[in-house]
Amino acid sequence: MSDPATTLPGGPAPHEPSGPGTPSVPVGPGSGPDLGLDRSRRGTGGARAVARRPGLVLSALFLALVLTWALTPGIFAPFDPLVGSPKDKLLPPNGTYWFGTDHLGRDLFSRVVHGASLSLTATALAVLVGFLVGSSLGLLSGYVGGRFDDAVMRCVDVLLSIPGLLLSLAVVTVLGFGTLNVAVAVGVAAVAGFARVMRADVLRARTQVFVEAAEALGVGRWRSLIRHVLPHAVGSVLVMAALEFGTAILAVSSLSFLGFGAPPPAPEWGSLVSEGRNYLVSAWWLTTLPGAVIVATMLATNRVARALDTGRGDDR
Amino acid sequence: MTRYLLRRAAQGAFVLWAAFTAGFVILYLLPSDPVEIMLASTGSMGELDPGAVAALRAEYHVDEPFYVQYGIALWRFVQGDFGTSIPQRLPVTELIGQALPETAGLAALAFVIAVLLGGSLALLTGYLRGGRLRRLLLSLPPLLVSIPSFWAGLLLLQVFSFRLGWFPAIGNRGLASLVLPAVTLALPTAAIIAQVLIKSLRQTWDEAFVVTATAKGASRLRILFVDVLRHASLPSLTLVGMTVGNMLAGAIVVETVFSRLGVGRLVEQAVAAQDIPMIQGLVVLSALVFVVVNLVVDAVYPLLDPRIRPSRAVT
Repeated sequence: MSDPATTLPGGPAPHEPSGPGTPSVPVGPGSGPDLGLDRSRRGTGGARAVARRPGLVLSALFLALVLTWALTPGIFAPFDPLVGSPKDKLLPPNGTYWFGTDHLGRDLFSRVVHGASLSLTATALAVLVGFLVGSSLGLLSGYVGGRFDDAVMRCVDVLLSIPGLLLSLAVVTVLGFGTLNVAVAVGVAAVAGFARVMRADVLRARTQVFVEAAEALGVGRWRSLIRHVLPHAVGSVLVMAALEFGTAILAVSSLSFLGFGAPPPAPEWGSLVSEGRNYLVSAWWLTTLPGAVIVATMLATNRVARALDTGRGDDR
Repeated sequence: MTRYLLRRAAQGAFVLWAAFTAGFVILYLLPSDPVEIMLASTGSMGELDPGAVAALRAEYHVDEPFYVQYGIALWRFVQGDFGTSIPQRLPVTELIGQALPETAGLAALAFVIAVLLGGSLALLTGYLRGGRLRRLLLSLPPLLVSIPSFWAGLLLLQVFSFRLGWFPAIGNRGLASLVLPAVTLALPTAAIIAQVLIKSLRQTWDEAFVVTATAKGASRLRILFVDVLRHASLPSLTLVGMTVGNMLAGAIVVETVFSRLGVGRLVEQAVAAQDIPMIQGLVVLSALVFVVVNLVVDAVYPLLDPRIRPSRAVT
C-alpha cells in the first residue's frame, strides 16, 4: 500500500502535539501528503522537466486543451454542433472539417469539442459524488468504529463484489437516462472504493501520538476528527480521486455509448461513437476519431494521476 | 476441511443475500414507483385500465410496507424465483438460462486470450533486462487499459470484418464469430494481468531462491519459467475473481457492439426497458459468479503454493 508522508522524516508530526489553544495545525494538507511535487521542484527549471518527462508534460498540455474545450466550446468549435449543411454530408476529414462530417453534414470536430463539455462535466460530477460520499462514509466508519464500522464495511464489500458497470446500470434504471443521472450512477459505483481507502487511512492516522495527545488535552471528538485526523488521511483519497477520473471517463462514455446518456442531438463522446456505428463501412472517421479523443484523454489523465501518486509510481 | 468448506459456503450465501438486498434497495426503495416505470416502459400499451394497474400493483406488492415487500421478495429469491421479465413476459431465470451459455463461451475464450496475451507480455518484459523493446512493452498495459472496449471492438470490426473480411461482423454463428468479441473483451483484462504479473516478477527476481538458482548456474530463461513464474503468479491468481466480474461487465458493451445474444445484451435491453426484475436477477447472477470464482481460486491456491493449506489451520 502507499504510505504517504506520515512516517517520513519530513513530517514534523509526532513531536508537536497541538494543544487546543494553538490550533496551528502541525501538518497542513500541503506538507502532509507528498504529492510528488518535490522531485520536479528540485530540477533547475521547466525545460529540464520537459526533457526528463516529455510524456507527462504532453499529457498535462492535452488535458488543459480538453478542459478549455469543455469550458468554452464556442471558441474552439468552428461550426455549430447541432446544425449541419446537408450538401456536405459524410465528408472525410479535410482542411475545413478537421474530423469530417456526419450523415447530416454536421462538423464532427465541433461535436467532439462540445461533447467534451457534457462528458467531462459528467465525469467530474461522478468523481465528486464518489469522493464526497465515499470518503465521508470511510471517515465516519474508521473514526466511530465498532458495530457501525462493521456494518459499513460489510456493505462496501458487497458493493465491491458487483461489477461497477452493472451497479451503475442498476442505478440508471431507477433514476432514468440523461447525462446527470449517468454521472450520479457512475459516482455511486465508485463510493465503495473511496470508503475503503479512506477508512484505512483514518485508522492509521487516529493512532498517531498527536491525535491521542489532542484527545487527552480535551479536544472534542469531532474537532479532532476534522482538524487532526482528516488532514492526514485525505492524501491517498485525493490521489485515488485523480486515478478515478480515468475510470469515470470510461464508465461515463460506455453508458453514453449504450444510449443511456443525453438524448440524440446532444453530442456526448460515447454517443458520438455509437452514432457512427451505422456508417462503419463508409465513414470510418465517425467512430474512430471521437474514440481516439476519448483514449487520448484517458491516457493523459492516467499519466498525470500516476505522477501525483508517487507512492506507487515507478514511472519507467 | 469440511468445516472450512462449510464456512466458505456460508460466506458465499451471505454475499448472495447481501447482493440481493443491495439490488432490492437500489431498485425498489429509491423514490420511484416500479409499477409506474414498468407501465411507462411498455409505452405503447398507453392507457391501461385501472384494473390492470391494480393487478400489477398486487403482483409486485408495491402498496405493502417496505419490510413486507422485502420479505416476499426474499422468500421468492430463496426459492430461486426472480419474477417475470416485464417486456418479455417470461421468467427471468429462464431468459438468463438461455443467454448464459453464449456469454460463458465468450468469457471463457476471452479469459484464455487474456491470460496468454497478458502472461506473455509480462514474461517477455521479465526476460528482457532493458532496452527500447522492453520500454515499449512496458508502455502497452497502460495504453490497453485506456482503450474503451466499445471503441476497440469497432476498430477490430472495421479492419478485420469490413476491410479484410476475415471474420463475420455480427451474430452468434460458429467459432469465427466469437474471435473478435473475445479479443475485444480480453484486451483490458490482459492489460491488468500483465501489469500485476510484471510487478510481481520484478519483486520475485530479488528473492533468495532466485539468487541461489543463479549461483548454481541456471540460465535466465530457466529461472524465469521454473522458479520465478510459479512464485510470481500468485498475486495474479487473486485477480482472477475480479477479472471474471469485469468480463461480465465488459460483455454488456461487447455484446452490444457485435450484436450478439447473451447475458450482457440482456442487461442492456433490461436497462433500456427499465425491466426491474430482470436487473435484480442479473445483479444476483453477477454476485453468484463472484462467489463461485472466488471459491475456485481459493481451491487452486494451495496447489500452487504449499505454504497455504487450509486444513492445517490452527483451531
